[in-house]
Amino acid sequence: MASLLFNFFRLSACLLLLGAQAAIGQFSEEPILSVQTSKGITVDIYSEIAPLDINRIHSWQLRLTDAQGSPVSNAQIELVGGMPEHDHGMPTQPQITDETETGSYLLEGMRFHMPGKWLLDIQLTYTVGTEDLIVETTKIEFEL
Amino acid sequence: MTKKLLFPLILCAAAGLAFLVWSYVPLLTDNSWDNTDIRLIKSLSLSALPELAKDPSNSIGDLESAAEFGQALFFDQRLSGNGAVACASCHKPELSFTDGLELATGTAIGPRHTPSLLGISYSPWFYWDGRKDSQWSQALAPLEAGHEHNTDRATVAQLISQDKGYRNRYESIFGPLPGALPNVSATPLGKEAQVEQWDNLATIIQVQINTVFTNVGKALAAYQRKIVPGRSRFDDFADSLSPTSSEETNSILSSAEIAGLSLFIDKGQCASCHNGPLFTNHEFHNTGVMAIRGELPPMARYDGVRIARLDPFNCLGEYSDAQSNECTELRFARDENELVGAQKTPTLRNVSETAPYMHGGQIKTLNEVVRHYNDAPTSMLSHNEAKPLGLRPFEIKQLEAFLMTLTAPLATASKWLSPPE
Repeated sequence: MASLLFNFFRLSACLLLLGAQAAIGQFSEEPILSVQTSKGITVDIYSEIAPLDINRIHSWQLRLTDAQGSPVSNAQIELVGGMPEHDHGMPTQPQITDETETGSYLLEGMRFHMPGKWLLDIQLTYTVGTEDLIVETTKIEFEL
Repeated sequence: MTKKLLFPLILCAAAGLAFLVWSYVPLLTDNSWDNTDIRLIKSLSLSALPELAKDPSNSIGDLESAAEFGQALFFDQRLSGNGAVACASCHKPELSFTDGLELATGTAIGPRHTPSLLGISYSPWFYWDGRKDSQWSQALAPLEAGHEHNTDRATVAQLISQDKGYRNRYESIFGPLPGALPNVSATPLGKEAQVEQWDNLATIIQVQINTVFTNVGKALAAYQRKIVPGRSRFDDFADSLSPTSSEETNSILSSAEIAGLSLFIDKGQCASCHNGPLFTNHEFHNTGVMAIRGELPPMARYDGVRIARLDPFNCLGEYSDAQSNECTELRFARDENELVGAQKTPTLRNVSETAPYMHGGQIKTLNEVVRHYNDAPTSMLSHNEAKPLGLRPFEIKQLEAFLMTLTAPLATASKWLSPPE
């Protein structure tokens, strides 16, 4: 089941190669990656560097929306990544440093140092409506 | 009897011949590249090298007058305890800013091999273990290292203050020097007597000395930002490559070199780390290199990142010109166990001129380096990220041939490659 779910997320994660290069400090107009969690939270990822490239440190903006399309505020987000085929992680430890707008989170310290398959684990801790605290992890795989 | 021996002899000869063919006869290779190959090869060309970004921690990094000041300092042997060692003693321009030695030898034999400086300003980290997060901060450490320049910051500040030419250059770039700097040998990192002298100085004097010392590092960095590789035969090949490459393109490199390039990006997995136009990802990897003779295997980047964080001359420190939000590499640097034994990926530009190789100069030739990666031995500490490649002997030769195509005269103007007049 877990692998089915994982494959679903892999499939649902789409890498959109954008023609326009976003400047540092500005994020791409369209998400470069997008994934939906099992509980219906959509994570849209916007990047200062689009298309993604190796060896350049940059920031991402993560926009979280619930199944009704409303932004998810006050979420805690942790991201770890790596290259399963090379048995190592990312060269940096990216962190969310700010919720810049409701449901929009600034993720600083992104850098990839090899071409190939990357796998990111994103752990979300949040509440929607009157529900209890929800903790779930979603995966995104993409190729650089 | 003769007949009995004949069959095994023929069998042995056939097996021997088959082995020789397997080892030394190149396969007939197809020189066509798919779009992914072409994209990757073009990403390695110097044409893809972006303009060198400003170093926010060094506000004078791109000033021509600072580079000229730095050039004078780089070649000045007075910046050493015995008056005989300059930066250029180990970073020799004619050897792509290396020294040809196993271990760097300044005032004494040091613990590490001298790295090349070609394009190193593009790196966010310095030293084999990344213990420094800027080029100016890096430049300070050898001055005070006992086996390198073996001088101290107070003596360096005194030289800048007393040498009329240096004083003028310094003040035109950084503003007035402090009124009276003490004529002592003092540093917090030196021998007991030097540390004692340092501790006896008033804090304001310590800050003044540190400021002059820092600015010396910033000028040295401004100079080193000029040191960039030149276009090689590989770059011409990469730039002219297309899905239907002409014979003209294919004549830029020999068939062995082209086969080596194919191995470099594919079976050899070299481009996993030696990527981008400088053939380095500026990162740290454990590749199972033997420890330096007589030494325990080093913790390398695992310790290096911790040293960088504690360094008063880092990007977040009081001597840096950067805002804290500009110090992203330092703020988000990784420090996990997998960095144990991980050394920095060096550039492969002009690699044929920078032997011997690895952090301790342990491997003498490029052929041996390729064979090391082919074997991927177990790491003495932590794990080797590389896996055995299964290259045949002729493929090792082809990879070596390709690596030789990365050598070219520097793009740096010749006036920077010798002591200033």
